[in-house]
Amino acid sequence: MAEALLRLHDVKKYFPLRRGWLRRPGWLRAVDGVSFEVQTGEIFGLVGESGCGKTTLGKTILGLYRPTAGAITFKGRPIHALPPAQARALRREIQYVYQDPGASLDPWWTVGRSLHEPLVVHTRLSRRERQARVEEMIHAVGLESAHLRRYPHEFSGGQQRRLGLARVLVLNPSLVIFDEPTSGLDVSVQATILKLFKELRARFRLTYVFISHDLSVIRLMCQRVAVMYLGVVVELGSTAAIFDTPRHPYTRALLAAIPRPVVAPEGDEGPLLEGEPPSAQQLPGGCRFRLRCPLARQDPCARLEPPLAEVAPGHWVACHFADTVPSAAS
Amino acid sequence: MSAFLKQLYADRLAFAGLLIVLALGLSALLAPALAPYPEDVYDIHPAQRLQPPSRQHPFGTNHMGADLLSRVLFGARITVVIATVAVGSALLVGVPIGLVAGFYPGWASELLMRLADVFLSLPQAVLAIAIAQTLGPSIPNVILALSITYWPWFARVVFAEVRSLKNEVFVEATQALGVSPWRTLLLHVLPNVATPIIVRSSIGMGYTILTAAMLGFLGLGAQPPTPEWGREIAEARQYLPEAWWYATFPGLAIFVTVMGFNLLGDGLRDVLDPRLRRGRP
Amino acid sequence: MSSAPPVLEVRDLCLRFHTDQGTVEALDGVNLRVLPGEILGLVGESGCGKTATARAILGVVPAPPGEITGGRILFGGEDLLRLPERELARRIRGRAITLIPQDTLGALNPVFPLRTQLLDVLRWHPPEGDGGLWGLLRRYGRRWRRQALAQILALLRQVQLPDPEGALAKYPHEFSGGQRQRLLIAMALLPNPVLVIADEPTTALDVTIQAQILRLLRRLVKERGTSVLFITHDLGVVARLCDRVTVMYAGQEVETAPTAALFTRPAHPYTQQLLASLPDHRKEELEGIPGVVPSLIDPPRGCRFHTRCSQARPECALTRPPERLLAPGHTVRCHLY
Repeated sequence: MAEALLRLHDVKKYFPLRRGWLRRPGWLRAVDGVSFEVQTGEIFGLVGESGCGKTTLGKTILGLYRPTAGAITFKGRPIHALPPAQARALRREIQYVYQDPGASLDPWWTVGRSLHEPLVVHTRLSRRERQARVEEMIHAVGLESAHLRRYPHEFSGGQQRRLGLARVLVLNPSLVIFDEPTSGLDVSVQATILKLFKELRARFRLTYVFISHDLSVIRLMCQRVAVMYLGVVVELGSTAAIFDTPRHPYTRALLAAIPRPVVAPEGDEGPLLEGEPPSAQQLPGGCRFRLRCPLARQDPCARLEPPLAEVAPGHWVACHFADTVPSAAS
Repeated sequence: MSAFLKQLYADRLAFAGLLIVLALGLSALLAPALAPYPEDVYDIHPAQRLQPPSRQHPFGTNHMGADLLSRVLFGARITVVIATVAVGSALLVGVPIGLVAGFYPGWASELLMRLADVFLSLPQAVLAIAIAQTLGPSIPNVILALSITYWPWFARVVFAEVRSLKNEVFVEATQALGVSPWRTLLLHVLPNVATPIIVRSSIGMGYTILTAAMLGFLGLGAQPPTPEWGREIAEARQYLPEAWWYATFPGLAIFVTVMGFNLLGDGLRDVLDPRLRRGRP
Repeated sequence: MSSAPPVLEVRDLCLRFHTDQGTVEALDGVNLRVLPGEILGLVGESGCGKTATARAILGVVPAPPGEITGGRILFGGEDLLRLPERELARRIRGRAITLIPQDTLGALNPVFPLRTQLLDVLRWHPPEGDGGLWGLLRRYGRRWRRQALAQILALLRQVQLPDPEGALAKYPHEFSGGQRQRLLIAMALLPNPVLVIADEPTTALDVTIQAQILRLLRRLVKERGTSVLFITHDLGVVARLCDRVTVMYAGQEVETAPTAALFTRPAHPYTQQLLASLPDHRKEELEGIPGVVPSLIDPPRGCRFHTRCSQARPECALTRPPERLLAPGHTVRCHLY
């Protein structure tokens, strides 16, 4: 098998909790031992609810956060402990699209100047060459050259997504990480934006990591999906495996909770999760999901944290009962 | 730019402030040409001492017989020089400290900001008096005293702004693009904190002029016969209340100038407020 | 059910906003009816006027810049648009019609504990009628307080807030987003209103929490027979919660149908394209709606959707289509029918 484009091995990112001066009552374990690989050319989905650590993980891959432990390799080269200058140079290859691309542009700069900036920083292109590249990209995302003279707040939500994409694509990266790329968009706009993402991926041979809480978008876009819960991956596999034969009780509950535009008979909503996730500052011992899990037992769930184990080729689940869970399709 | 002036014009008080500041600048620049008796800054005419305002001497004369209008106009020069140099150097020291301390949290930044807090906790006037007293009365020492007491204001304001800007997505996004921290600091952060700096500078000019006049009044600033406003008032004291004009006109000059800078500063705050500017339609 | 007179009927509501750029024709003849005990979904994309409609019903359109230029809002036999503000505040808003807002933190006062805020709801909007100044004074007494707290606790248990007694002493920020939304549901139901307006109450929540809240809300209002006007942009939420749906586009209602009928037999081209835009993994290609929502400063005449409609005819640009009845309870405004 070809070398994976991106490989994470047991990546952890803890944030110190501070209360007052110098006292450290503990750590916030935002990402707590995540391993997966992203193959060249695929769209890899990272899905979970707020606070599950998916955004922290994205920013750790990018190098904005330095992992507390673990290794990240990109094109076979370790990138988790690069000195700052090299880490910055690497951003030519790995780019990040923020949830609100409008806010990721300097409000005092014209859009054109913001689009030039990555090229100024990373290349020695002349002004004219840069302009040509910027115009190529602004057209590629479906905007016009005249838009370059405007300011970020003059654009609508959908246009801002396009701008955010144009800004990272001018560098011709190989990996693009999207953080909640469609949240806050109306569905009719979302549809066109997702279509654009797919077109650009084919045209520029990109690899995407899609971070989202929206399972229907993930299902539509991704080839493989990792489901995160409180800092760990609880289930990993092909989109078909995750959505058709989910094995982890959390994945199943998550799928049942998606509001679908289909009217179900009264009361037939499937299993709904009770309660809310515990704080990542005070995780329960054993399996993190056991407090909300319909299958949880005292032993082994409260005692052992289940490892991510392969239950079918390419389908990994972190549950003590992964084999006994009826793999009924949803 | 024209939109900016238009908005400033709409705010009548701010516009009045702007006019006052412009007038101050003009009188400082053109004092030799505007003053009816430019030589009176150094000459004495004992025969004409303490004359009330008249056609020849619109502001009257002082106890040396010098024309007060001329002296007030030349005083504007001194005031402008003191205030500009003092606020300018306070800017040069305070803004970089605030920028760096706000952008790079750590013990060094913490130390710098605590130092600024120490300066801020002392009453500015008392500190300036102490410094001027120690170094000896002269205009350069006044400027030094004023800049030493004023830089922490800039450092504080800029520090607070940079701290909150650091949480803005677009600042983090520059990091995500691989922009070097210095470039981010100079090209993204600094322009975004320009507004509070400008506003603070304008108000700071007023404060500085007031403190400078106070130092002059206490005899810690300019020495005779320099026509510094504060010193003029100090000298005029012994001739009150008979020679009311002697203290009144330098005093009015101080009052109007300080008010001008304050009005302008307040107006600029409203006009330059990025929240109003960035407001989505 | 359809024979019972509606709880709320909005007829030809027109609303303008006067702005620096021009006059925004935010609502242009909106019609909707909420029947007793039903949950009506009001669906549309951002800027379509859903929230403006809710504000007009509650009588909280900021004027200026807003101006209601026509229409009627009939509630309990009265036209709310003709009711003086004093009457609206005393009898209607927060009493007979309550609101579940989207911003859970902003809707609660951060400096008062929950107990104070919930007691105030009952104190100022008592379900039994207010009894004037004496009534108000009585509601500061100890006996009333004991009864009111019992009533509040019962409701907090119904919304399944963990540890209701302890919760009363807490401040809003001490609750999670999902718990705060439960609180706000309790708060909205406390005066025993006839109609609850819910403005995107679950948009900021995670899906598993959203599912809990929706199930809870549906159960509670059905038990009490309260009518709900549920504003949302999420068609999935509509499918899960609502009995009937009214779809809005650019300040006009375009289609009203029982929920099942809307998803199986959408009639208006806008509704059809909106449904086609939903991410569906079974489809090869996603279809968005071509074009952009028109500016409401100079909106298209006739059917406002005609600028983006693939089936538009000449008459679509001339007159707004009348309401056509397709099936019982299913009406559409489109010249195709």
